[in-house]
Amino acid sequence: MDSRYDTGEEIAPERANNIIQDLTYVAVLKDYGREVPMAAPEGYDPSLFACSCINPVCPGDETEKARWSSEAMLNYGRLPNNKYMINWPLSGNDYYVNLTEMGTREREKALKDAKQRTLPFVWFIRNELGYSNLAPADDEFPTADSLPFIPYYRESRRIHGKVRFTLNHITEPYDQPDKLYRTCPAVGDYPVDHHHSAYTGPATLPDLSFYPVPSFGLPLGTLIPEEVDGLIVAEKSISVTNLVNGATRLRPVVLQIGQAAGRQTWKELKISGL
Amino acid sequence: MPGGIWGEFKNALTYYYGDESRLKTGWVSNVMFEPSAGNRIFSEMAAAEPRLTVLRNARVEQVKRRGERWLISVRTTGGMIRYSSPILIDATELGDISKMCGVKYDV
Repeated sequence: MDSRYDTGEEIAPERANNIIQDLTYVAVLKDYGREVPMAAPEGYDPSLFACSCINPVCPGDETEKARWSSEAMLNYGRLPNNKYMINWPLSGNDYYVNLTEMGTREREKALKDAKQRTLPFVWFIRNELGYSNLAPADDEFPTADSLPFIPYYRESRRIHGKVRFTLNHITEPYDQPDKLYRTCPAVGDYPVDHHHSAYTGPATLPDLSFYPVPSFGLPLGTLIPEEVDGLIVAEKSISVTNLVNGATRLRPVVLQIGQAAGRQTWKELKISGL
Repeated sequence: MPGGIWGEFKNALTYYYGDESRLKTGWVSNVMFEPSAGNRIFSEMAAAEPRLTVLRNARVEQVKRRGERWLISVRTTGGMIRYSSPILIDATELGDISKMCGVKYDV
C-alpha cells in the first residue's frame, strides 16, 4: 500500500507497507440433487468458518459477525444450472499470501496452502450447514481436484507507468493538473473494494470497504511503462495506486484494458511500419 | 457498464443462456456464468482471429532484449518455442513479464 504523502490520497495509510489484497482460491460447486461423497480435508478446523453465516456453530458472543443466512451466503455466488461460486469474504475462503516475488515452486506450494482454506470451507458448508448435495463441479475445470487452475488474484505488481492514476483523478477528474480524463480507452464504475480480512500481520490497515467513486475513465498512460520501450502492460499490473487497484481490478475494467493494450500495440506497429 | 470487449462478452453470455435475466442468479454481480461457458466464448472469439495463435499449457521462461526487439522463450508441452517481436503485451496475473523486461513497480 502506498503512503498518502506519496499519492496525495486522503484515505491512504500514513505509511507505505507491502501488504496486498487477499486472494481467493474459488471453488465452483454443483448441486447434484442428492447426497454426494467428498473426501474430508486434512486438518479441518470449523472455527475458522464458524461465523461465515448465521448457524449454530457461531459462538454466542460473536453472532454479530454472522450477518447472512447460509442460503443467502450460497446465493451470493450462485451461477446458472444449479452451480455455486464459492468466493465468500466473511470468514470464508479469502486467503492472505503475497506471491509476487516467489519462484515457481514456492508459488505452487503457497497455492496448495490457499486451496487448504477453500476445501475445508466447502466441507464446512456440507458438514455444518447440511449441504451434502453440493460438491466441486465435475464439469467445469479439468483438474485433479476440480478446482480452477489459478486463484482469484486481486492485486498484482503495479508498474511505474507514463502516468500514475490516483483516487484523486477519479473523485475530482477535472481539478487535477494533468487532464488524464481526456486520454481514457476504458471505463469503470465499481467502488474501491479492498479485501484484507484474511491478513493477520502486524500492520494496521485503513477501512476501505466500498469507498464510493463516480464512474471513471482509465487513462492509457497507465498501460505504458515509464522507462521500458516496446512493452504494454495489461491485467491488474497497470500504473495505479494501491487504492485505485480496488476499483480497476474488476473483470469489466480488466477486459477493456486488454482490448486497449491490443489496439495500442496495433497502432504502434502501424506507425512504425512493422 | 457493458463497454468494449466486455460488452461483447456479456452479449455472448446473454445469447448463450437465452436471456439477460438468466445471468442474474447471484448477488455479487449481475453477470453470473459458469466458467466453462466463459471459456467456450473466449475460445470462439480467439478462433475467429486468423492471425492469432493460442498456446495452452505454456509458460514464458525468458524475455531478453536484442536491439529493438524482444526475444521470448516459451516452454510448451511440445518443447521450447522462441519468438522475436518489437512489441510485447504483459497480461499475466502478477506482472511477471514486466519484471523480466526490467520494469520498475510497486507492491
